[in-house]
Amino acid sequence: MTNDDKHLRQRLEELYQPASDDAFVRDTLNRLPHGYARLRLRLVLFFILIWGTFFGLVIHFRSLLYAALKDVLYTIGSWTLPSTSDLIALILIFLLFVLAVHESCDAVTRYIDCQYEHDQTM
Amino acid sequence: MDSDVVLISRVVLLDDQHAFARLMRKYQRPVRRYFLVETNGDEALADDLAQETFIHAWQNIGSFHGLSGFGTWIYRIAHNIWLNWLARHHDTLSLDDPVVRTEAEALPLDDRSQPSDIHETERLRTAIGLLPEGERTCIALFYLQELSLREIHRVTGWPVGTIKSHLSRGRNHLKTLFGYD
Repeated sequence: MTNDDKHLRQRLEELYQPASDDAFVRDTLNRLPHGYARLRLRLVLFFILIWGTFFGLVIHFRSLLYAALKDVLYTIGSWTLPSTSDLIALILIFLLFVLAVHESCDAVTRYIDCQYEHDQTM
Repeated sequence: MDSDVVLISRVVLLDDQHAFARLMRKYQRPVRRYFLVETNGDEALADDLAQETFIHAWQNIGSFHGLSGFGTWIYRIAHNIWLNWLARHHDTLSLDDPVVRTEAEALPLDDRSQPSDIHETERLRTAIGLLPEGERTCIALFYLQELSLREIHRVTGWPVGTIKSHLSRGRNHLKTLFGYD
C-alpha cells in the first residue's frame, strides 16, 4: 500500500465513523425475530419424534390393545386387568397420547404466533 | 474468548441470542462503515441497512457452511442488501451525469493545493459520493474493510480483473475529484 493509499484509508476512517455501538446492538437484538426458521424445523422434528413414538408403541402393543378394546366393547363384565407390565405400557401410551396432543397444540400456537411476528418484521 | 465457529454453532443449535450479540459486536462496525460509504454518510439509512443485514444473517445462519470467514459471509449479505436497496430506489449517480460533472467541476481547485482538514474531509465525502457504484464498493471493501481482491470477489461475485479495474479507476477518479496525491 502506497503512502497515498494509507492517507486515503486514514481519511476514509475519519470520515465514516459509526455512532454508538451499544445502541445499535441493542436495537438490532430487539428487532430479531425469535428463531422463526429454526422453530419450523423443531416443529417438524417434534411431530416426527413424539407422534412417531406414540404410533410405534401402539403398533408394538397392537395385539394387547386390540384384546383390551375387544373386551371392553363386547365382554365388559368379563374384562380382566392385563399384567402389570402391559398395564404400565397402556398407561404410558395413554399419557404419551395426552402429551402429544397437548404439545402439538402448543407448538402449533407458538408457530403461528412466531409466523405472525416474522411477517410483521419483514 | 470463543471463536466465531463456537458462537455460530451456539446460534444455530440453541438460538443463543447472546452468542449472536457477540458476533454482532465484533462485525457491526465494519458493516456499518461499509454502508456509511455506500450511502455517503447517511447514518440513519446505513444503520437501518446494517440492521437488516444482521437480521438476515440471524435468519439464515444455518446456511453458513464455513467455506469462507464469517466476515466475508456477512459482507456478502450486506452487499446484496445494498444492491436490493439500490434496485428499489434507482438513485445511483454516474460521473457521466451532467449534474455530477457540474458538481465535480465546482470543487474548489485552489483548496486542493492548500487543504485544510475540514475542506479536505468535505471534498472527500463529495468525491466518494460522485464515484460510480462499483468503484465506491471496491474502494470501501479494499480500503476500509481491508479485504484482499479474492475476498472482494467472494463478496461481490465480480471477477478479480473487474475489481482491479474498479479500484484503479476509483483511485484515479478520487485523484481527479479530490486531488489527494
